[in-house]
Amino acid sequence: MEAKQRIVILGGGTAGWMTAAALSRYLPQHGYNIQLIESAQIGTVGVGEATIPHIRQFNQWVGLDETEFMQATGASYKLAIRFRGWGQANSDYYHPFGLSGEDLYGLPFHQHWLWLQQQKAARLEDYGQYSLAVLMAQQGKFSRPVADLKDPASAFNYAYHLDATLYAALLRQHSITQGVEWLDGKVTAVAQHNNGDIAQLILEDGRQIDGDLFIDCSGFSALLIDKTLQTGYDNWQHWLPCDKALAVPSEKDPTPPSYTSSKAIAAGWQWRIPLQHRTGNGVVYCSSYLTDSAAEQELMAGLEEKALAPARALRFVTGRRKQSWVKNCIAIGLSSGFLEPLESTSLYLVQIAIESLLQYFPSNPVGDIERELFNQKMQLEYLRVRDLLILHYKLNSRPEPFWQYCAQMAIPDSLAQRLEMFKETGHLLEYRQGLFQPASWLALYLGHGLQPQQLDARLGALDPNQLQSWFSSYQHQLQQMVNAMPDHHQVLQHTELVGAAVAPAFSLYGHRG
Amino acid sequence: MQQPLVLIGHGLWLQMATAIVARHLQPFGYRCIALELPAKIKEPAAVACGPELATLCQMLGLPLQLVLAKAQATFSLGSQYQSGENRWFVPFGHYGLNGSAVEFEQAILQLLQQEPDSKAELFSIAAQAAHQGKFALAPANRPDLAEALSYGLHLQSAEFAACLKHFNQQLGVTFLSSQTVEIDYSAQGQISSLQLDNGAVIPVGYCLDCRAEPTADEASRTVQLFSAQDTTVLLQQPYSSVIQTSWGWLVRLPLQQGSHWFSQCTDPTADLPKIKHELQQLTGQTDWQNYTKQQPVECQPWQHNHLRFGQAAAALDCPLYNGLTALQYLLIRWLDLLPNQSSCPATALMYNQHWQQYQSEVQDFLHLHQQPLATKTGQAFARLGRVLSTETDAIKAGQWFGLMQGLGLTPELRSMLLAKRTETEIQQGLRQVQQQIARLVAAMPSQIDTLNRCLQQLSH
Ligand SMILES: Cc1cc2nc3c(=O)[nH]c(=O)nc-3n(C[C@H](O)[C@H](O)[C@H](O)COP(=O)(O)OP(=O)(O)OC[C@H]3O[C@@H](n4cnc5c(N)ncnc54)[C@H](O)[C@@H]3O)c2cc1C
Repeated sequence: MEAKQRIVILGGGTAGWMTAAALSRYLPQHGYNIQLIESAQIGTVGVGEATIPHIRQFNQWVGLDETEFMQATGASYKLAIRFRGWGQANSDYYHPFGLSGEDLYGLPFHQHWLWLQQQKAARLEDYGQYSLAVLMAQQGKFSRPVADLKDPASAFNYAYHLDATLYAALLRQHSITQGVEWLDGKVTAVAQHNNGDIAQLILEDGRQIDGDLFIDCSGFSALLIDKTLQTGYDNWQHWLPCDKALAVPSEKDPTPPSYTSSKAIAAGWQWRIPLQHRTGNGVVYCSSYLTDSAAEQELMAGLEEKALAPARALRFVTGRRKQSWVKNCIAIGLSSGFLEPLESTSLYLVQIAIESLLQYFPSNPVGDIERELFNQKMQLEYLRVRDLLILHYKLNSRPEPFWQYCAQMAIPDSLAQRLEMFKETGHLLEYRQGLFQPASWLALYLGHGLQPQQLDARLGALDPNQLQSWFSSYQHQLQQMVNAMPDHHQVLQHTELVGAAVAPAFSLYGHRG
Repeated sequence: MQQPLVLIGHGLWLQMATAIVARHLQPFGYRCIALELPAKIKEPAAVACGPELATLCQMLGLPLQLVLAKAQATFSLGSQYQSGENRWFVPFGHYGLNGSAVEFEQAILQLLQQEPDSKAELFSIAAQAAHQGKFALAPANRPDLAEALSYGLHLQSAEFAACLKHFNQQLGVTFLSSQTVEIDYSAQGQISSLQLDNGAVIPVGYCLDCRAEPTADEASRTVQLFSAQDTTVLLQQPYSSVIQTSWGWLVRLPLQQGSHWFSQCTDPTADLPKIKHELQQLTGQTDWQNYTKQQPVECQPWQHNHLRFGQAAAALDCPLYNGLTALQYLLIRWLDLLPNQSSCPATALMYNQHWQQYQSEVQDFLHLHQQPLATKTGQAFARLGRVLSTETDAIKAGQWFGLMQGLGLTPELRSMLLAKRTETEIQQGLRQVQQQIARLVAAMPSQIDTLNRCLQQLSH
């Protein structure tokens, strides 16, 4: 009989337990031995509570029932992110998990909307008003989407706000049931084979943990991938200059909104994540432009409920490990890189890393091909998210020095070309691999009031009045649908109101997306 | 945009491009001009189009029956490959009956390792139908089968071009012809007008250039083309045949009356008489035509207001991949972005980058035919049994999988996503699908019946 392959996961934060839950779900116990080491002494980062819709598929994948999950993690539903003060001080727009409008005459909806705006159409509403997800989020409503593509309710998706500590605990419980061995201990040394592969983790109390494959989920300390294997780091701070955060919980909101809030402040932004039992708050800021005490003042002044604890400080360097998989070590979570939580993408990146690991699961010893494919995949995913985050900063027109720096900074070519293209023609070219399709790019462009120089050449042939009537009746139809939906806070208490469950779509924007 | 769109070129490519552009833009009151120039490269007598063509005909409002009748067309569910004793089918459609079934191909690969005598094509409805000479369009009440039964067509080029030209004339396209064309450029490098041999000057908004031959300043390579016409009628064959030769591949496209053989050789040192001899032995045909063409190597299609679609498509055109498919893609993606200004460099740059991806996916597919393990795609398959993600549908998922497993690439590693499933579970699941496929195929009509029905519908 072949020896079992020994997999050691270092770290019991969300990344560690998501990995453990997924690996134990798929790898048979007769062939694999999975151990997870975490240190209660060190603890976890304790944030990471806003998600994007892909997490639904992850939960289904690892066998978590939605109702059980919502109860166990105090979760609320999430349909969008609301951006206030981005662009200009008084701007207010949503980046929804959904599409706006429908294609008309073979042209994308936003082209018509921009054109009607140019024509100064009298009854034209904000772009978001043609998105079911935005209307629901604004009006505090929630109902599950449907899979029937003819129904406008197939054009949105939803995610959750969850309590990160409770989520990790739920996944831990699941993982242990599925055979994962859980060890509490602090790793103080790492032994390597002659070829550089990691051989063993040595704990403070002297225990030695041997492994064949090591998953580094040790958070910012990146104990294996960086401290041991010395993989370099691509620093992206010149594009995303925020480097500190403060996090504070506050009392619960009795009518929690179904969106994450992101409000720009003098040199960064403030988040608000409503859960069932409390509210998560924090600021992300740039320490060269805002002192810690000023940041804390902003945070506390911006709370809508009473704080439940003192603010916790976090530091980070935005960027990504040059390689996520080196030798027999795979970094997942904060150890592999950090992109600020503006679009709630970190747990998505964890999820993608886990899925890719399972798809490219190595034998012992590891082959170059799976390593290379995994690294390419993760690089692409990081870059796609990075560019959209930079766009938030680049498009602002706020007067504060920090924002002025962001508006003027050079941006990566990949983003500059995309942005220029939109400015020229108002068109977008979608990509298949990586997050964020045109709907997301549009939410930002239009949310920031960007006006293309020209629009599609065909629009000139259309009748604006006819188009305007279509817009009005479509918007009316969406509004009627929203009127008939239950309130979000009611749904949280009465799960029977939420509508029939449908298989999650692996898209930000639902089955139509 | 004030100035007209002017399409230039000849033959099928020009007519196809004109049809797509004119049909798309007609509702918006656009004026399209098609300028027919003499062909510098001999057009192949027959072409094989992939599943895009059916979608396109629907979009154009061109009845499939009409295309079948006019272009002597037959259906194609994919290609039957032959390399020595080895034979396998490469379908357009996906394997299994549910395109989103998780790890279905991985399950097939596991079965093949346990039962080396089994075949992947048992799990492809297209392959099963093709082997039995059957063909049917997915019925309206089974839209779920449409993907698995994706089909292309084999068509006679000149007849199809004539059919499209008639269609274009009905759409109101202005046709001009000239022996030569002079292009006038503005100081900014834009095409401002075209001058014809009769002295006429046509102002240009955008020039959609469908000419396939490389210009003197473009990199190109010399290709030897071989073709032969075969009178054998192969109506029981709703697929192309692809046979490995000592220099590459030989392709046979069946039409309603007879069929056509094509091959090409890019090796400048190749011994042409030897090739002809081998071709004769393989096909029994003695009348082989051989001609040389200059093939563009690579092309940035969007340059100012000059869209070199013909050259870009021609860079990929070969018996294993029809440039017409690439041309359609170039046009449709461009129409998606139809700009209102003649200069939009950022949009052109993004478009060209996207085209590079399409091009590299096709080239990767073609390289797989030569040296599978020299490509990243082949290496990934040979290690993990996975088809790499693609940015376009230039090559369909079923084609990647079908080709690589047929070429004998067997993965070293098994899918971990199936690791908890027992062999029996996997086998039972696959057998069920196999039986469902067998039942569906048993109820399908033959290609001959389907063709006859389509042609009768037209005459009524
Ligand atoms: C301010 C902020 C806000 C965020 N908001 C979001 C959000 O809204 N949405 C989102 O998706 N993501 C968010 N993130 C990211 C998210 O928090 C992380 O991606 C997620 O929590 C995963 O973290 P982790 O498990 O990688 O690291 P951690 O939670 O830090 O876990 C590290 C683990 O490693 C263990 N460990 C470390 N060193 C040792 C050692 N020597 N020995 C033993 N064990 C050790 C620790 O004990 C711990 O268990 C945010 C991050 C920050 C900083």
